[in-house]
Amino acid sequence: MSKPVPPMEDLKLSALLRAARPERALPPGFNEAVWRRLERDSGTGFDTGLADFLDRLAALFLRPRLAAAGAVAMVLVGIAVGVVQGDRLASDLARQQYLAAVSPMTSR
Amino acid sequence: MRRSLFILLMVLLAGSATAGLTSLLARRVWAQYLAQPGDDLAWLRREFRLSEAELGAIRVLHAGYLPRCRDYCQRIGQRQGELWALLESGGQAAQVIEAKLIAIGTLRAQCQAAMLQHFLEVSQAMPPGQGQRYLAEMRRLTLGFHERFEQEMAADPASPHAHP
Repeated sequence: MSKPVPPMEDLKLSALLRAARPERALPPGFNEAVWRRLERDSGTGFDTGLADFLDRLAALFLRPRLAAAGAVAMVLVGIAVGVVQGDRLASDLARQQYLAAVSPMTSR
Repeated sequence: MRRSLFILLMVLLAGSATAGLTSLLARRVWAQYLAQPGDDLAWLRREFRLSEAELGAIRVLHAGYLPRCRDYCQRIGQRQGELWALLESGGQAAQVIEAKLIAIGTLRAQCQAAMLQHFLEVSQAMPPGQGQRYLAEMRRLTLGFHERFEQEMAADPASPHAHP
């Protein structure tokens, strides 16, 4: 059976609709993104979960506020560790100074 | 995933570097802030939590001990110089060298005895608990040096200096 021929009005209407909604060009990297998505979906559940987790974690660090907070936290951790170590260093140096003053026979 | 891994690695490296550099800087600055280079007794005050009165009493003992310590050091150094001169000149009788060694050993023992006496006096000027701790620490630091190798002279088969 042959397909029914659409009436002339329908053809005109279709052409008019196509003209009203022109096809836009795909965004850059669209194809790669599709392939990446396909690749990811074809992986195991664990891989996918891990990848999602890492993506979300990386995205967190790319937020300026969180990145700044992380940097401040690292500086504070460094200061705290440095103060504890500096305390010990100062104590060791002071002890060596005392021992050097009172005893020529010292094991450190 | 690779991009995320790279970002996380960079974050980890930058964080570690920031913390490491800050801690080095803070360590140096804090140690300099706490240091009192001119005061030999700064460690005692800090470590044994001494009051000004206790530290004052120890300062008197310390000042009295230093000339005796200097005297022993000079005498031991002088005898050591004489011993080396004897050994280098050669041809000296064994008895002369032995006598010099005995003289040096006697001086060393007297120096140690004076040191221990001083530590005992200082410990008595501290609060009892701290005094005991000070005495134990000073004995360990000053006599431990000799004890370490003198223990090897005892019959210890594991010692590299063991005698059959």
